[in-house]
Amino acid sequence: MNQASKRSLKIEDQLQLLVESLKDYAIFMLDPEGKVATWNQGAERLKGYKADEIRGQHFSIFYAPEDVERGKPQHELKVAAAEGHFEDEGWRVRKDGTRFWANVVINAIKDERGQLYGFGKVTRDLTERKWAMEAAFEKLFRANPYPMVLTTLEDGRILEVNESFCKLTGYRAKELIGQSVLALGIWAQPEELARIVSEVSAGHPVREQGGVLMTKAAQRRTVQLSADKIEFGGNSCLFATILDVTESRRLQAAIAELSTPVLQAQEGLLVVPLIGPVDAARVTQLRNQLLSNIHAQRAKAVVIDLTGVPKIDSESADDLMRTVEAVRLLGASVIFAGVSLGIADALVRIGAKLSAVKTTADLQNGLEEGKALIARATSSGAG
Amino acid sequence: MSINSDQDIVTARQRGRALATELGFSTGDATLIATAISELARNIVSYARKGEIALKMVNSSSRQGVLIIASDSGPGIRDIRQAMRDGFSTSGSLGLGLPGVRRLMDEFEITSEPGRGTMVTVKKWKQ
Amino acid sequence: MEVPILKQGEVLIATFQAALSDADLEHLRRGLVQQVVKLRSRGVIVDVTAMDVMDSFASRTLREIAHMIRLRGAETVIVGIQPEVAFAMVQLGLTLEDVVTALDLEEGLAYLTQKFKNTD
Repeated sequence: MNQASKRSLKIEDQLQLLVESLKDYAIFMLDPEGKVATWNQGAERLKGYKADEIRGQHFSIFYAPEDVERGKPQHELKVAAAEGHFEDEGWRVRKDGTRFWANVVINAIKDERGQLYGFGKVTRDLTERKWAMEAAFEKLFRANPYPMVLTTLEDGRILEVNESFCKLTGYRAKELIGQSVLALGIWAQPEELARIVSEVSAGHPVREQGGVLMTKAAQRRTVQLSADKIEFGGNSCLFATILDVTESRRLQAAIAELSTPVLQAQEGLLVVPLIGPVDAARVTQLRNQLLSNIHAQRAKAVVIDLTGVPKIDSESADDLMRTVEAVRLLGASVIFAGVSLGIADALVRIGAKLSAVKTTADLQNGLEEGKALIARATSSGAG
Repeated sequence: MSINSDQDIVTARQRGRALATELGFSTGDATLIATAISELARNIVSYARKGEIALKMVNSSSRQGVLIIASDSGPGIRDIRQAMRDGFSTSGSLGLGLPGVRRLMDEFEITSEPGRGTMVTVKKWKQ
Repeated sequence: MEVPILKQGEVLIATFQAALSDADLEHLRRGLVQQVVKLRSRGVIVDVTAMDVMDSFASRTLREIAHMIRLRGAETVIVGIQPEVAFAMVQLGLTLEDVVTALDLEEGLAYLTQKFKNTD
């Protein structure tokens, strides 16, 4: 037993030496009340106190006054005592009053009966890493191709904007910073903005929310906004990234319209040449366009030219037949021109009621059929 | 709101349309929503006599929509799969009209227990 | 509820309002069929321009009206179904099968006039 305790003492001595010699880590112990009990070289280097001047002092001396006021030191000990462990990153104060960014780990040390014996505290100085990170993030923010803006959550005051945001809105940074987003009228729908702010305030990130921005020159831009709550300079802030989708939306709408062009062949007769693969989205687009066109142009017949459509899945075939029925409810008739074997197969497979629709071999015959149909209807109008 | 007469069906769908319009849905979508409410309320009156319809605004992270919950403690549906069977060929028969309601909306959920009641939850998102 | 029915020659024109309950629709159906019998009309136009929702009951009522009037030897045309209402109807699977439809009152009257001319 003597042997063993001698050897363990030796190990403890070695450990002691090791701890004392570590220069990059402040490693020291606190008694259960939080008074400094041991000190090492790293602690002296990091915090500026010598061992004999700090021993017996309460460790809250390492914290900024505002943290002491909120009871942060006591809170950390309480958590460590309860959970055995506490870790934090934040500003700490040196003896000379300067601050450093610290990574702090506090471990509760208990004896074999579970009685709290004190706390072991390891502090590292990460100031340089933090500056490096912040510089990198700042660069990321400033040079980001996506428009970004940082505002206070409380009153929507703009704190920071990047170059892209200025370009999008047409304002200069100095015209924006310090101003309220609402007062500038940048966001065209204030009630939407209020909703986004309340979502973010409640801690829910907002993703790709559609909206409209007003530029300085009073031009509307269609945008998607993603926003998060972040802490910045002691304020709760809203950090938003914006995507200008004006052009892509315009293009999408143009493409969608092009994919189901509704042409007027003569008064009362519409033609829709469908070319290429037809899917459910395209049929829905077709139905919307067709119904509003029939209504607006008082059409009596519609020729849907399917010559360029080799085949169609059953879901789209269902949708196509619903389109035929909807057209009929408006009082107009549908003529399918150039039905391929593939389409015929799909229509038969879904059990479509083909009495609802006339079919012709090609577009030419379809148009003639349509004209005849209108002639029959209008001859009555005169009579 | 409670649903126990044919007049309630009208009131429910009017409220639905008003809510949809207020939220900025297009006229077309507001019509789809009002029609779905009308069908759900009608199922309650026809099969359970009385029940509830709740209309709510819902938000996901990027979208806004309406949520409609139709619930009753009526006879329930024995075979949900049968009740949801769909396809153009069967659309002529009226049945419960549930496949149709599903087509009117973006999301559809149904739970039912024979003898205990039915709850249908549907959502439509703003485009 | 008073049935708003207008008589124009051999045609009866009934205008349906927006917020009709099932009871209102039943009442309209009965009233309309009675009038057709009483006035010996040859054609009926039901104008649904104002109806912003056409659910399964309304749709069934319109079909019943058309069928009953056909049994009396007259013809019915449903006019004024709005594009978005038509869209909702077909999504629900309501297609007003074997009922004649027309864009509006004018087209409905034109259809009936033509029909009478052919059968005269």
